[in-house]
Amino acid sequence: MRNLTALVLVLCVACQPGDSTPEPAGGDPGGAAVGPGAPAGGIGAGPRSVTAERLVNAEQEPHNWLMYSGDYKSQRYSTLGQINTGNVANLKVEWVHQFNTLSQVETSPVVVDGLMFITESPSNLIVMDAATGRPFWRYDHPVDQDEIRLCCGLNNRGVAVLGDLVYLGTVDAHLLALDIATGNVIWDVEVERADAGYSITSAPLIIGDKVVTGMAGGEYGVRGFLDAYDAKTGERVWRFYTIPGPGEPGNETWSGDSWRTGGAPTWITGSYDPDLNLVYWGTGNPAPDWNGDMRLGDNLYADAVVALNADTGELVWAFQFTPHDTHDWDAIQVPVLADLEVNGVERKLMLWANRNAFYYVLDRETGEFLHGVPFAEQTWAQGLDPNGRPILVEDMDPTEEGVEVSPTIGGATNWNSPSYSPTSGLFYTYALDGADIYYMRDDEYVEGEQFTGGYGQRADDPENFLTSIRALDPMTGELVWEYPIDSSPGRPGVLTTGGGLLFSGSGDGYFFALDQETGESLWHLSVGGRVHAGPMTFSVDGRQYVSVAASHALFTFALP
Amino acid sequence: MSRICTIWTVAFLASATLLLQSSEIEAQNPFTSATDIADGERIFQLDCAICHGGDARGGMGPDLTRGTYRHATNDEQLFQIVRYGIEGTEMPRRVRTDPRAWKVVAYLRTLGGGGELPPGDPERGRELFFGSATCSTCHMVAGEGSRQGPDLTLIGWQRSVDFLRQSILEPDAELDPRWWSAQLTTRQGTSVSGYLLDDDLHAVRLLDGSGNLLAFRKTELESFQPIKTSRMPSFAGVLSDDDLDNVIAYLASLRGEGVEQ
Repeated sequence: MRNLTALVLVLCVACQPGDSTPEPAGGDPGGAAVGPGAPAGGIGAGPRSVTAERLVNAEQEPHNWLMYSGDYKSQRYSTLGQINTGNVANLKVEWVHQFNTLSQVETSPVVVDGLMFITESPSNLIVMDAATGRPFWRYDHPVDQDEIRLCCGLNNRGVAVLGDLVYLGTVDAHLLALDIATGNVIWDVEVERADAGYSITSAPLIIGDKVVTGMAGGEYGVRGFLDAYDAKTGERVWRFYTIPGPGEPGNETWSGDSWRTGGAPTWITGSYDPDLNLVYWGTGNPAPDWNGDMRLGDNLYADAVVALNADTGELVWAFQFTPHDTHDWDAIQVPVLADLEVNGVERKLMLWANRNAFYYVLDRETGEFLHGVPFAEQTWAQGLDPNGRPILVEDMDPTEEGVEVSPTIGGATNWNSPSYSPTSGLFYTYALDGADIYYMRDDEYVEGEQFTGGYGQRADDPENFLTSIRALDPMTGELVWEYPIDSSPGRPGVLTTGGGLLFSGSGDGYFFALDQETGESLWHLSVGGRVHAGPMTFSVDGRQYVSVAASHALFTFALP
Repeated sequence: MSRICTIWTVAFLASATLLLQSSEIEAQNPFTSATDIADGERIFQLDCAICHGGDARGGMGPDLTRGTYRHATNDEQLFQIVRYGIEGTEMPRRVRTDPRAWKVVAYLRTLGGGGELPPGDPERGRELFFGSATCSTCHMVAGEGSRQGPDLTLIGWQRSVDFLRQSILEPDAELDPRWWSAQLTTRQGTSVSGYLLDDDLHAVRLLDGSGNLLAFRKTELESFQPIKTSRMPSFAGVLSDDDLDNVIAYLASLRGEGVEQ
């Protein structure tokens, strides 16, 4: 015991003047708070306690990447400009972390004051020195493979951080809080039953003193929801069901009891407007995916964005992109928030390139539809009416014989992050022009079994599809430029920076930098496997880095 | 007689197979006798020791004496791994038959914790742990306590009663390198000490007493000294025999309850 006391005293002496004193994090009766920066000579630093206020003001500390999409606006944009259009040609690999898995890596790192948090399939967490990629500790979440139900792989996309805790959702539908210093599990809650089809693959979002998490399971006839938990105790504060129950407005948009098994999961991280105190989250497909006859009606709030009061989880507004979807076009995109001028007046907007191939501009205070146009090839709608509702082309629903429709089941885009750059004033998204043949079949709900009502297959060799990074005018949705990439399967996210750069990747294993104004290719590197995650950037000791997961490794780049 | 035995064995294995095929019922190990365990140890030496070490404490492969496994939470999953390997890792398909794999599982289950019920009162042990015995000033159980020492939430699964007793009385006897510490001085003259989380060819990473995770390149260090003894003092002569039994009874009862809500 004496030794330990001496140790703490020595360290207090070693702390540098000017280090901010950490705020003790609550709920940790014995342990010290995650403390001040590194003593002189350290190349990494323990994070000062991440407070809710720091998260609200994340833009003011661009050396960090404090949450899944960087900040609450989810623009996946950083003001860092040390790496820029003039020198990116010199970008080199700084370090590589290889994952101990053959599953696709989809993690988007979080960086706090020199500490990097990454996740590994199925639901593991690694904390490392961001400058060198060397690990401090790892947490391996035990998963009973017989219990879990996943449509699309053992994935995890990232974590959230608050105080001295890091939060992790798991494929067996648990939400965990771990001590940043040691990896000790502080609390572990079962969000829902994994064997009934529920799972978590997305990063949680911290709002105030709550941890907000979505869930997956749209191919298992779950009833979707968004949950908020007390960050200190793990007690659930609120749950918003994305499918209204009997007596609630919207329940009438589901025939019979179909609302009970109607899907509408919430499997990508949302956004938050602190001024409006609204949390925005996209919802996934109605279930069964391809048999709409089993769930007649608009199927609210599947394939929608919901705006919830962050304190109570109550619905403030919702906008449904694809009413009565029969093509599996989840509105599982990151809501991008931007304040832009509309007719000379600055308005709080939401920009959204949807899996259904339309680009939308919404007023995020009211949910009002302002504008919408296709940004990729589509054959299912003649356009959008003044309220943003699609004007359908006839006979585009799946049949037993099959119907060819654009876009594909995977969509014109998917969960991979878009970006908005205040530097260029442009919106960027991955886009795919392609078509699938959609088939419908009868189905029956059995708890824990797939409930899809059909399937699809490629209408053509994917090599004949056009895949590209597209730059859109954020107000009109008009194409400004596009950069074609290989059509191999991959879901690259897009990062933009204050250096005038756009970073993204391709399914055939390139990571590249473009001039965000023109789309001109400025740098590329073969990373040897598909880019299926969102890039991000940070700096340590004044040096900027860019990180991206590709195939089974995480690459981090810097200037020599 | 031998024929009856054969029929019985076939029926038994068939029932075990049926159990395995059911996703609702966790397969029970049909081979758990003392002879089976001895067989399992022999098979382990033939098929597993090359990577996991003759005493199963790890080599190229991980230590298997901790009582918890990264890829398995129950005997059935452990069996699947022993029998078929782990795709995407260096763990190969090596143990040839189902009975041999089950026997290896039975052997492995004798290495970690064990479910022994020691004398002592777990409830009184809990009071001591969080009270006068001061264990919780360094250790954590289910999120309660301090992060300075190992988290003991699962220790009842992981360690035998004898091991627990030895750890309390002789903390240095079997110290996991995770709990080594280090003292270093930078070229700027700053001294730092803390738990040594990792020491590789070019860098070291520490957890200091304030909970900071610190990384140093070795080229930036004037001196670096690993300390391979435990920070924990011996409680020999500090705790009475009864209190020691009570604390051990409490530790042996810890199977992860409390963290999951």
